[in-house]
Amino acid sequence: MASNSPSDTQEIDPVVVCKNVNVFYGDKQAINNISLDILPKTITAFIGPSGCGKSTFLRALNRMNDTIEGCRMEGEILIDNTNIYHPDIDVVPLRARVGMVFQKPNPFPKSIFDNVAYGPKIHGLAKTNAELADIVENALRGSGLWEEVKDRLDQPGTGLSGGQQQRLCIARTIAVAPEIILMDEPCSALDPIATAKIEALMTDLAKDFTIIIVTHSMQQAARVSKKTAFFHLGDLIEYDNTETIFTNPTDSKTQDYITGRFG
Amino acid sequence: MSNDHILGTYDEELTNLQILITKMGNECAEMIRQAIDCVISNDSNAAKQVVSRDKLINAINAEITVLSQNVIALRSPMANDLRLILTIFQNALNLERTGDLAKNIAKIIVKNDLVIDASARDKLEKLSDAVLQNLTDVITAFNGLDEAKAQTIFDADKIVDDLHDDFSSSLMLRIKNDDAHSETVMHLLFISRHLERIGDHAKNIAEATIYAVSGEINQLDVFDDVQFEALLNA
Repeated sequence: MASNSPSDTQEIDPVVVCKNVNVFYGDKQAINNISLDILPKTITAFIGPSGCGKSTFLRALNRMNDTIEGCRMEGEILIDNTNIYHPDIDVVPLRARVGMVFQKPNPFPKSIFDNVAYGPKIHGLAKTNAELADIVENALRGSGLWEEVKDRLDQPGTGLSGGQQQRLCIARTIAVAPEIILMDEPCSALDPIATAKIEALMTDLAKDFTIIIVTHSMQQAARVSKKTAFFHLGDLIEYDNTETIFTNPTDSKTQDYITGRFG
Repeated sequence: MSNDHILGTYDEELTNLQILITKMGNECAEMIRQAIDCVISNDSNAAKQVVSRDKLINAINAEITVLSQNVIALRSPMANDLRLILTIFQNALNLERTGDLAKNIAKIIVKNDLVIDASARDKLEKLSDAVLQNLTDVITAFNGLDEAKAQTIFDADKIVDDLHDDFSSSLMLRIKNDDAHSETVMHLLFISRHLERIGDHAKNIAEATIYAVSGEINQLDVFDDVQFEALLNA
């Protein structure tokens, strides 16, 4: 079975440590005893064929699976040495700390400003309106959207293009100053130009945030990520530097998948 | 698990490349064999045909360049597929050079009458047989992606080097002794050198075969990062 640490970075302390994680949907086991470390301020890609468990594993990292009826989790996921599945953990601040961007852009039916301001407001991150405006501006700048929307912050977020909506969702995520951003197929509904902008943005964001992306596009994983984990049938098959995974993977299943021999 | 790609056309493109590189290798080996026959028989007409045969080698090389470029651009090959394509491209360049060297040998016969005695002939045949054996072995090794067979070429190339050293030493001695056929001796020195270079290209193809199979690159760890940086900036 694959090593749980990428080969050349074992001296860096991981920000996420997953130990013997099993996830079940009712009687069906979706994740089989996976142990995996995620390095800080790094883009890690999860790849694998449909149904391999990569999105399930991603959602386990901020307990989004809790919202799915019949979903059960075993094992430990430690973020900064705290088990996020400990009964004392409150999932609301956890999900601010581990933000998520979804496949389909899902702005709230509110103005651009309010979309970004919503999180900081409910988490009490701004004492004054001026502070809130600063957070919104910084988040929109961080998502590369500020110049495009600064003159129409009061307009509905749903009026933006698909790519802009996704960057608005990224702004909404980073506005609450998360440590980790989970991205579940963030570009699958976008055209190549909007995709390129999101990918460039991810590279910028990785200077400040730890990013974990689930993608069906192996080219996208190859372009943006430093580490890649390959999942198959609920198992972690291989986890290594992205260059290694795409040029000389160790496991024949990884090789067969990335070279288009099965999927 | 099947070894075929989900996209059958991708398999066809890779197969075409493999067929072409094997064809190119066999053509080069035949061209070298004919060039040496021309030297031994001193047949300038046959040598002219060998010279013109180089055009086919160059054409196959061009075709491999275009097909490799298309597969890389259109299929985004990864892992063993990527290594295979890079290796085919690299091997084509090595084979193209062996074609040039065979042409150079043949050109000597087109322009000159050589007088080769039994001793020189014997040494030339031993050297050319060893070189041709290595080239055909390495073509077979690459065709079958046979890493173990590719490994044997390194020792076999040392034999080629020894035969070249022996042949060229004997020729140098003849020059020192004011041999009556000094022009022939000079040309044989060039021919020996060309054959030794063909042996080096066979060795390069062996290294590339090992890379295609294992991903290991020879010479990669000769210098550490600091030494390498210093050499680059020297």
